[in-house]
Amino acid sequence: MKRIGSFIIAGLLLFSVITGCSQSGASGSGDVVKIGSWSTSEHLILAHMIKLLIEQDTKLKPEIVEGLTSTPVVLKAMENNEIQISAVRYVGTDLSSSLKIENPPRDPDEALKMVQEGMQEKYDQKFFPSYGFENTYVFTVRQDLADKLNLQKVSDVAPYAKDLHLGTDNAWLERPNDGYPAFKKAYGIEFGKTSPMEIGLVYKAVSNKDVDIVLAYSTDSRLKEYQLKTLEDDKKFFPPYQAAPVARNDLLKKHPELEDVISKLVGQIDTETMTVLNYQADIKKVQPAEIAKNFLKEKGLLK
Amino acid sequence: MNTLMDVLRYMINDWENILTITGEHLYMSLSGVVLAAIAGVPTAVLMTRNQKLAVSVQAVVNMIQTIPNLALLLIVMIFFGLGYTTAIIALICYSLLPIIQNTYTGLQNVDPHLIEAGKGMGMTPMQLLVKVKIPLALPVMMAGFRVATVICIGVATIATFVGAGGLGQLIFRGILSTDDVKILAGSIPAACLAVGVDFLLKWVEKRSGFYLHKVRNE
Repeated sequence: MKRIGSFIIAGLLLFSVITGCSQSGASGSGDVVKIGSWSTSEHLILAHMIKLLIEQDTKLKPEIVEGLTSTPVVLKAMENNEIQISAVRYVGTDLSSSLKIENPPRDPDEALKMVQEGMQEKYDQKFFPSYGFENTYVFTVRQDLADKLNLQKVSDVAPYAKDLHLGTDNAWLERPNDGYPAFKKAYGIEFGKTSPMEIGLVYKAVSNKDVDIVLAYSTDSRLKEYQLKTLEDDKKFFPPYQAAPVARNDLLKKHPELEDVISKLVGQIDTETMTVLNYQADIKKVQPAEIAKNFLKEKGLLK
Repeated sequence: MNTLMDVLRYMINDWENILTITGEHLYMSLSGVVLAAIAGVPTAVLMTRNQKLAVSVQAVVNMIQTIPNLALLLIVMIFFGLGYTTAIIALICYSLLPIIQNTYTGLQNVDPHLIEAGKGMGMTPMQLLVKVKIPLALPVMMAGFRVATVICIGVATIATFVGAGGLGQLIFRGILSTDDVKILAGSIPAACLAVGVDFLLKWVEKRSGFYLHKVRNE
């Protein structure tokens, strides 16, 4: 009996030590600001930019919570005040997923205004003006397939769609207003087979001929790296997807200086710049934190 | 071979981060198993005394195990929000089946003659449980704990989706940026953890075998 007893005590001690260590790092309230981010390079780079600027200009302690996969998860976490800032949100995504607007406007300014008002009223969150780039969905095929079937725009795919295998990110097939069901209606195209997967895998999948056509993200540098051909959205199906940070209004009220800090990034990054930054992360394998620091220094925003 | 060298280099360069997320991973997995054991072992003991309870608990625990892990994680998230709590609750759910099932089976299969002998010696039900049944069922119970631990270390890789960190953070970063080095730098420590903890528990199991021997000889 003694041996087992001492073993249990030792185990409990070890357990409480581990618990203690991890808890002290994880919890803590007061001046901690949590920035929610997905694990893609784009999100991590922008999250680190916000983190560095907050560290430099305020006394707050920013922390990045990464791995939040989908907009609904991020939105839920923001509502529960578990994160106060989301590093990147896209106008079109929030219009259709968070605000459930069925036919979002195609004009970028109008769409931005609509999402700003909607998030303010419905969720009490401030949707900032865009960073200056747009990350839209693009249909993408291998160059050899494009040449063979003479594909230039999405409508060109219609006659061959039954034989094509589509790869997408995990969410698109289910998305209500800018997803597959709406796409089928708009273009009258239904693919023979669809495979949802982690977005990072679609580029390799299409270049390895595992799938024929993929729905990629337009700022992704791997489009160039794998020499993929993007097809024009000729029926203007996709709404504008300008990227912007979002913050809870009560946080901005409590720390008014934060609004100026985050606004420093507004309009600073155009689509080409974002693609280059993504290239450094995904192809050159530079750490996102490093890329963020270098960019801010170059822009003179970080001393 | 080249990739392996890259992985090693990456792990050396980024050792601080890897150590932190390995710690988070271990913390979540062990918390899951320990808490599930605290809840599961008494439940299994009660199950041996009440056949109806046994049937219904087994049904529930089996059902939980069939829920896909990502779905379970996100359902728990709706109630408990982001972070460790959600991840640990999901891990407890997945540990319950092996722990309850093995404890129950172990206790059921104790030789009735030995229980009779214990009763004949005037043991109270509590003494019977602690001094006869549990020691004899211990090897089977330990096997359950080992299975639960390995399951937890595996499932904990998706804890990153609710912001709880762990080695999954690095693995999914790797998947999203088509970076095999990061994927391996996250999965190799996870595999080592699973093998290492399993080995440790096997050792404990052997020691508990000695203990069993001692009880028998006393």
